[in-house]
Amino acid sequence: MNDGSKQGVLLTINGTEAVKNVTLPRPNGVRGFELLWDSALELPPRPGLTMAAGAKLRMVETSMQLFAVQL
Amino acid sequence: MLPSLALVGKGEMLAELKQQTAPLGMTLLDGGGVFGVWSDSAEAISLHILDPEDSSQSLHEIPLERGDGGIWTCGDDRLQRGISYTLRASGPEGPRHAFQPQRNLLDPYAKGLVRESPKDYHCVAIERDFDWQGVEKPGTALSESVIYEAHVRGLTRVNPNIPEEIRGSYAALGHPATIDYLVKLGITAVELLPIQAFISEPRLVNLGLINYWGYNTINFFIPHMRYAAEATRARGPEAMLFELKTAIRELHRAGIEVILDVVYNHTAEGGHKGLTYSYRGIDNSSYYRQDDAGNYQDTTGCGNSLNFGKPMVQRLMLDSLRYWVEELHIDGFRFDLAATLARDENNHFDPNHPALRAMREDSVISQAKLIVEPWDVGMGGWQTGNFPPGFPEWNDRFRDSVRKFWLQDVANFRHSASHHNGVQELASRISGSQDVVSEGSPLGTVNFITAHDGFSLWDLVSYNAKHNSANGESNRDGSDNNLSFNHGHEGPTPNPSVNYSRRKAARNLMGTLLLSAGVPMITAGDERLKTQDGNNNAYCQDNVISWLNWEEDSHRDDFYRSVSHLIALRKARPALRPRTFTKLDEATLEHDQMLWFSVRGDEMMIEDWHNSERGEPFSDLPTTA
Repeated sequence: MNDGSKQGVLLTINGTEAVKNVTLPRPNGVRGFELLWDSALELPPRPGLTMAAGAKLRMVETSMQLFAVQL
Repeated sequence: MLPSLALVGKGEMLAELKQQTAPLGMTLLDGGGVFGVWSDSAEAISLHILDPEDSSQSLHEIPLERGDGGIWTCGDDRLQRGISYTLRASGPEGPRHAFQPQRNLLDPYAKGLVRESPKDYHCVAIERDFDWQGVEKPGTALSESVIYEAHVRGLTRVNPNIPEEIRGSYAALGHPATIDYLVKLGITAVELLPIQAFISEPRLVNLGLINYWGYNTINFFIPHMRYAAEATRARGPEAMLFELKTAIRELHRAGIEVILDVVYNHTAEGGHKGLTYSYRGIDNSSYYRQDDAGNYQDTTGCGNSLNFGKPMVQRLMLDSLRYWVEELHIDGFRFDLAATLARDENNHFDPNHPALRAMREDSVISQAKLIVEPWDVGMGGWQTGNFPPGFPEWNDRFRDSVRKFWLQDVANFRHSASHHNGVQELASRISGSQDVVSEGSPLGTVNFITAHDGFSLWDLVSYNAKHNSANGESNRDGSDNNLSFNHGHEGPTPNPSVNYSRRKAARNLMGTLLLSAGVPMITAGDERLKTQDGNNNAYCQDNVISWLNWEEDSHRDDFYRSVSHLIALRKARPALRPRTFTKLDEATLEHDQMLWFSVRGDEMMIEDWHNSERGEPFSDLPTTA
């Protein structure tokens, strides 16, 4: 969105019934990603869980996660 | 607009009333009132003022005079606040007509109603004063909206935080406990299942059931009486209107809009064997769509269809909409079986139909949200994506695609070890269904996973098949195409693994809904994993099957917190609610870049989009431009 917020997000989706190891992308200017929500968790995650761009992410079966992009 | 009644006398008002654009129904003035009703075919119409001591008796008969275009009018000193009245009409015989000269008929524009028996009602002339206390409509932009589809009665019927004597009523809808719950959830609008006065079909009554949902309207101006608190009902129609307005005002005060599910496609008069309450007895040949032999052309599955090829039928809807917006401060509408409203004189869907154009061009109606259910059950009735801009559509493609991805495909994988779909279809739904909507923006799609009609969210992840025996039709009613998945066991189970999988699936579905471009709609109760015991057609279940369950439960409470969290994320992150379509790999003045990545972390290739492995992440990233 061009609203000046620069609040990009990353949505990861594992539609299979198997655990997947995912490599997080490394676009230019992106340092990492802060977890905002994980469907595998019964409750929202605590703030501050971050992963570096290019890091390996383990996704449980049939799940999705939302991250905030950190520039 | 109504003229200033204090300044306009009966004579002047009557002259105006005889024009087709003048207000119809009862208009009370100083020292009497004027009345108008439309019937193209009647030969005589009279207004009967009923005996206040015995409403089965007519106290005064006032003949109406026919004017231009079939507008019948009268002015009389006896038309006063509080009178009970009905109409009687006579006219020609023939296959297209159904006059019953001795039958008491409801004024189609009545503002007050009293039920005497299941077959008999009469109108009441009311005043509508109300103090809105300066509370304005929230005016929430569609792009910011999160809609909550709810049933007035079911929402609060067993909420222990609300006084028992008002549970299930308009008063309970506007009670602080309800409003606090909705505010904490984060929704911006309640979309109420029909609250225009409706009745139950005789078939249901004979089975000991009622029409709970309310898609069976008897009058398009009057709030449903049964939803007023018992003490209010005893005080009559003015008090009931006051109670509803109070609820709307208090919701507005909390920043919550009120959208009405409106059913202008048919009436409660049913097919030819149905009872006559109003329209059929006033002018059957004009109000209802018929062939030359007088057979109803039913595109609603309810026995009749109002004839929107007729300008005065269109006007009935437009006047009703304007009344709800101006008089009750309603913020929007969801038009049930809206394809019927846009069928022309040849019964063909016309996206440029005068009724649709009139809504968009009307200075009052166009300010409201105008959401359509873009189909009916007639020939050529499936019109998803074909309504013109300005009419956001319930997107059944979103519902089905998301269900297939998270449920049916997973179920199929357990049987065949392969997924049928890659992520391409899901990606189209998440990014706003540009391939479906005509709006030119994601705001043309109202996304939903569930609605009142069908499985609840919890049942969607708990049942493979419907369980509708309580409806009295040997489980024949309701859809068999649910795209649901029970996760290995049909219905309730103590198995913690199955229950965890179900809750995760429900979070996947709810997450996809609330993180997708478009306007999300949640069904009341899904935020607390409500079950209907597998009933996917609970239209006649006025009981715990349909009512929200307010009992404390850690999993239901956790799910509520998750939904509230997702809504908060949506509100805080504009990238999750774009107002225009993003373009793949292209940043424009309107958009930041949308990029899609494979499981390897590199940008998606063509083959990735069709990969049945289904493990691809994607992102919507800000540009640095």
